[in-house]
Amino acid sequence: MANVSRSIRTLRAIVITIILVVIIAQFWFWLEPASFKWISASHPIISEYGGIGELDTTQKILGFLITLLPKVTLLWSMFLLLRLTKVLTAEKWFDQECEDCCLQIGKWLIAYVILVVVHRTLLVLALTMTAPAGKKELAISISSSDLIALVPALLALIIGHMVKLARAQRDELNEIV
Amino acid sequence: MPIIVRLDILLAKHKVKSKDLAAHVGITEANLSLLKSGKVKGVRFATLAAICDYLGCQPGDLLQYEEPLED
Repeated sequence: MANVSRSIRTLRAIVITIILVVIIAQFWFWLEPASFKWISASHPIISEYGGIGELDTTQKILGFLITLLPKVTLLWSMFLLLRLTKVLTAEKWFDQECEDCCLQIGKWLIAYVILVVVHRTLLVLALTMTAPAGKKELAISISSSDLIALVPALLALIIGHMVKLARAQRDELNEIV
Repeated sequence: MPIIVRLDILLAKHKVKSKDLAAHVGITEANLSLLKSGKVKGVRFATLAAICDYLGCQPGDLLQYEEPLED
């Protein structure tokens, strides 16, 4: 049980780190792009279209909002994961709350994958909105990493279903004397 | 449920208190009460054996099947 508690604490620390990194990176990238480059991180699509320096204020605001979309779903999934760690710390392994958390995490991670794909299309549209007629672009792309991101989502949904079955079995056993 | 638990009849017949039977079987009085009223989904063989041992009866004396009435 001590190992489980330690694992949950480690998972909690990782999730909190991810939340902080995602929030900081989002604001840092759009507010201080020059120093963001310094840590050798950039947005591949924006770099491809000349970088943030080439964008006007409207494009920057749109870009910020569009890139925020998938991050909000990812952050919400991470908050749900934090809630799940609390449920697990309270040893409520087979409670309705645990099942709800797992199913919600799965659904939000699927939404994240969809929004990652959609945000690329919207971002290209926003980046080329000031381009002359005939130079505006609309791109739709799905990469293998998008599909790989579906794995944790499906795993969360499966775990949620397993928790539901386990609870049903436990309840049934409780009715046998 | 077409299975009827006849434990209360056996208890009365053998003049045994629920409390004593529950203590012998190793279940709570609350669970024994649920069993008596047929509000359980099942009975463990160990529980059945302990009841039969205490009351000196067979599982068939405890349980009875009654065909459900057709509408």
